Amino acid sequence: MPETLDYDRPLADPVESTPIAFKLLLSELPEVPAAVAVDGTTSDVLAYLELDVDDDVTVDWRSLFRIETAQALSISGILTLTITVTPILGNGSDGTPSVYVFTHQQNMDTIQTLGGFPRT
Amino acid sequence: MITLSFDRQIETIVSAFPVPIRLKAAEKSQTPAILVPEGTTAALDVRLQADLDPGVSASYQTVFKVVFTPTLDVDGRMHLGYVVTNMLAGAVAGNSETKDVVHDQNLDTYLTAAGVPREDPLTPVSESDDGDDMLFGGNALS
Repeated sequence: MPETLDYDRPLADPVESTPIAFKLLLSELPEVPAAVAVDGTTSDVLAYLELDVDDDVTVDWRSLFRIETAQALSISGILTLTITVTPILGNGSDGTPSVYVFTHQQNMDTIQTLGGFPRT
Repeated sequence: MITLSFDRQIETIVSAFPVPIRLKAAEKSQTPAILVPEGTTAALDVRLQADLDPGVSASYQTVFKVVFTPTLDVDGRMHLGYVVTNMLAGAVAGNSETKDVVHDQNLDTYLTAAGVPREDPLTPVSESDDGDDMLFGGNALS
C-alpha cells in the first residue's frame, strides 16, 4: 500500500480533503526505474553507496554515502521533496549531512487539473 | 558497480588505487539491496509518482525525478552529485536543480580510518655490492 498524503483541495463548495497516494520507482542507470517494494509504505528512498576498501582479492564493502528522500504535501497543496545525503566516514560514523528541500513548481491542485483531473 | 581510481601516495611512490563502488537501494520501509547484479554505473534513478485520481481508479504521474551520480575528483575526494527535476503533465520536465555533495574525507583518509592504511614504508629487498642498483618493493631504481 503506497503512502497517502492529504491536502485541502478547493472545490466549488466546499473545500474537500483530497488523499494523494504516492508510489516510488527506482533503478540503477541505465535500467528503467521500477517499483522495488510491492508492499512499500513510505515511498521514501533509503540507499547506500558502498566501496570495496580491499584492493586485494577479497572484498570488504563499506558505506560511503547514505541517500534519503521524503516527500510532503501541505494542506494547501504545496508538494516538496526533501533530499538528505550523508557522507559516511571511514570509521563508520556519519559525516556532515547535506539537506535540500525542493518545492514543486505547481500546486497539487494544478498538477491534478493539468493531469486530466480537474476540480469537480 | 563501477570502479573508480585515484592516485594514492605511498611514501614517494604514487600508486593508482582502484575503488569499486556499488549501489544498494530500497523504499525506506525495506532493507536496501543491490538493484542490478551486474550494474555498471552505481547511479541511482528515482521517480516519485502521485495518483492524480483519488477515486476508484488509479492514474499515477511522475512528479519528481532525481538522478544521483558518484564521481571521484583528482584529489581523491568522492562527490555525490544529483539533479532533481519537477515533472509536469505529459511527462514534461519542469524546473530542475543540480547539487554536489562533497565527502568530508579524502579517500586516502577514509581508507586509513577504515583500517586500510597506506602500505608500510618500502624496504630494500636486495642490494648490489656497489650500491648502483637497489630494488624497492620490486621496482628497480637506477
